[in-house]
Amino acid sequence: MTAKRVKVRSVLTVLVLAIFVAATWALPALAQDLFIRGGTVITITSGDLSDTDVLIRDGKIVEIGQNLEAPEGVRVIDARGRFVMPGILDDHSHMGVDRGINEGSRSVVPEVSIADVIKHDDPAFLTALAGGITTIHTMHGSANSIGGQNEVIKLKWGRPWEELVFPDAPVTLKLALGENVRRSSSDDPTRYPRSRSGVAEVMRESFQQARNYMEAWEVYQAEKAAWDRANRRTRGFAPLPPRRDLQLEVLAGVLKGTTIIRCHAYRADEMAMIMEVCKEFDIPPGVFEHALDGYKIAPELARNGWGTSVFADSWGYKIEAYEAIPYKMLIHYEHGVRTSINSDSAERVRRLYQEAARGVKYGGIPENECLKMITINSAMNLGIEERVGSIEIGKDGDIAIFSHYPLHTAARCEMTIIDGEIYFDRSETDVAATWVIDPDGGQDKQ
Amino acid sequence: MKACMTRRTAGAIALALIIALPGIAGAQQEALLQDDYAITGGTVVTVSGRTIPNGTVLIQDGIITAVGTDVSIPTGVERIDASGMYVYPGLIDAGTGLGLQEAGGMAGPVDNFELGPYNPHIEAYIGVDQNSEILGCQRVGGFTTVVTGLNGRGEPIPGYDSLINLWGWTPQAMAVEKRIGLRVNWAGNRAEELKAYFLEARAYAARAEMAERGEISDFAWDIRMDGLMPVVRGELPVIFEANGDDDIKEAVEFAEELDLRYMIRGGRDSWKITDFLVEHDVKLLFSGIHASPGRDEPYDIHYATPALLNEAGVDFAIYSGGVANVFSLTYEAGMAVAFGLPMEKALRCLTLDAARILGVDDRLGSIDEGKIANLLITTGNPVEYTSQVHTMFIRGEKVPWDDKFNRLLRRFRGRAGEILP
Repeated sequence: MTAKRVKVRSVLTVLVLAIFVAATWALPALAQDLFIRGGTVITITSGDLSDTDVLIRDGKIVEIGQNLEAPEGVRVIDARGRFVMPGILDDHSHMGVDRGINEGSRSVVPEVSIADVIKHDDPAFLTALAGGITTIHTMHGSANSIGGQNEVIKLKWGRPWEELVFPDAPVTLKLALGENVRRSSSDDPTRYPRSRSGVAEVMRESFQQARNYMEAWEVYQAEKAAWDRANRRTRGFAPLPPRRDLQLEVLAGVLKGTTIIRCHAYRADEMAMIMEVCKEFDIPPGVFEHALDGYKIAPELARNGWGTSVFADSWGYKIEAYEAIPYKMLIHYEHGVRTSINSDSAERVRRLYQEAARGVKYGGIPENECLKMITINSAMNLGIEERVGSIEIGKDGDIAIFSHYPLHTAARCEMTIIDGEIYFDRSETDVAATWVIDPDGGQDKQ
Repeated sequence: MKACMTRRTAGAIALALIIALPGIAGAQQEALLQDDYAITGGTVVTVSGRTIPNGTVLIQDGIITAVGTDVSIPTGVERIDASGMYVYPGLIDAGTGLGLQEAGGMAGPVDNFELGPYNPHIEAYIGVDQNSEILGCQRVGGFTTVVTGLNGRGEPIPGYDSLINLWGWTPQAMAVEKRIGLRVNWAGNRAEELKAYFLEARAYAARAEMAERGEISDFAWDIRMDGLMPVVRGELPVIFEANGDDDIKEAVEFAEELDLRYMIRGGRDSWKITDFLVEHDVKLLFSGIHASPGRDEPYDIHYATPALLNEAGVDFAIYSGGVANVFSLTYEAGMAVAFGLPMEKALRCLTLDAARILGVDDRLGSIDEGKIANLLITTGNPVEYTSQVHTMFIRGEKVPWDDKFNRLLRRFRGRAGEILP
């Protein structure tokens, strides 16, 4: 009797364990396999492939080719007659930021991080998914000279926060220049700096302090290493480490080249200033956000290796934006300036492919080059081009499936896939049907 | 319009004859001839009817005088070769703030509202800066004609909207209709007040007529009542801005009660009340295809609204409501196509249907004899995202492609040398 009861209990235990394992491990793994059949695959990096299949296993693209066999048990998506492109990236966004977009008290606040204030179930993520977006770079605002660390996330709506964070993406730091930093819309600006010249000196001072800080640590580490090696009886007290500084630690990352500068800049003179300051400190080139007048110094941007992340044709909304022209992408392209097109908006992000089409309209940039501006170029601007931004074997299974070529007027996103999992499927919704942006009814829109 | 041109022609010829100096006369003649063009070899999309491959459009004195494949071109008319290209009517945006704001973020260049709740005597075109850079750049997207208006700060009556061409040496020359309609921002809680105001104007109009007939001698002229008079007499329409479904219904019922000519603009929730709109023969100018959906709304509701209106048989066109980015309206139309609106209707929303709802389809909106020669030569349908506008005619004048976008493009595109260290 006793033995039998024990046996029952152990069977139950095994069963519970099996269910637990299935729920936590086996099921998600299965869901990350997909076979996308027969679409026109827009690889971005190696041309468009007609009637081509894409196999995703464990969230990664493992096979691209014609007439492939769908492995048993793997869900098949019929993409015949459709266009399969890499998931779209928006490398300048503020989605999910639940207030706290600017820490406006002081002009230099590199220690703050946008990751601390992201609402990971922002309903705007859903409408973005419905436009083929899979990855966003969600950022601090432009109120500060040095405004804090940003976050790269995948729009895995409904998943826990930890799963949204893009693994191992380089740290990016927001800098800003121009009217916003100078608080020029305020009648009585009280915060230093007030001038563009002042902003430049704030940058210099901050990087110099970071350099001094790094040197103090290097001196300490050398002394500490010497002390470790020294005779235990005669070496005296251990050297004291420098006082830890959370601001300067972040800026030190910039000086070391591990943290990417993302600098809000409209006017050409401002971009020239930052390029000058960065040269003084041997800081590698970063990315100019908006870069509305970048087309005026395209040779300098190209020569210095700076990337840009621009609006396709937004302009005229303030004086700084009065010389932005929709031909800027053309001029950047012709000069070899790396350029992405961003939304900076929870609305515009839903139709970034339409923004990219403007590159063809304004000056006839080749179509695939326009698509690069919302995929691989955006990924390069974020230092994550080894993982996303094109359809290549080994890359993440991030895919957007469109009804027509994405720059065509009839194009509509039909399905959005992240790491091999479907996050948006239009066939499960319909015009004016029930797929609402806020299924829980509990979230405020920004 | 045509009469005006003819007078100008006659005047110039008379002047040339009187002065009889060969040099000046020659210059005058040349200036006149610049108004006459024959666009040949292109595919002419008339919008009103057939599409004519290898068609010819003849423009004389600012007016389209012939369209077809068998058009005889008078001597002295400049030929414009459009082979391999398309000829479309100029695009119309039925609601903008163009010319009244040069740049945001500052008070100085923003001139789009007047003080006080009731300004039915204000006319938008008066404040239009004909040399506005913002205005000129909209031509790049194919727009030749727009409604512009003071958008107010939500006051009930911000003034008359004007229909203007985006090319001309003075606001007066640009104006197609100085008063295309009186804007009324509908607010349900002010309905009674507004009704009283309209009834006052009706009484005023009656007294004005009596004064004219000499029946009364104590008639006191009032600039605001005078402004409202054409509306209460049914000569000019009211353009009600209303977005909520209840607001739209209230505005329609208000207009019907007071027997006003009217149209609705805005129309955010119009998809919810298509039966009502059809039943009441409402003319609708819809805006906000790119607007984010409201909470608990389908993600694509604003993309799909034009398709839903079209399927239900609602009489509508679309507008941008914008200033600097009016040209993006073609992209809004395109998005409506992606979400079910037939391409043909999308194009009509920016041409003939807009003109008809505004009451100017006798002069604008299609390529037909007798209409104002507002034309585009393009690489394709202007609603298509990637189409480019190559040449534009407004009132028969070939518009110089010297807008700010193209000037800066020319200046910086080929930049080389003197590279910063």
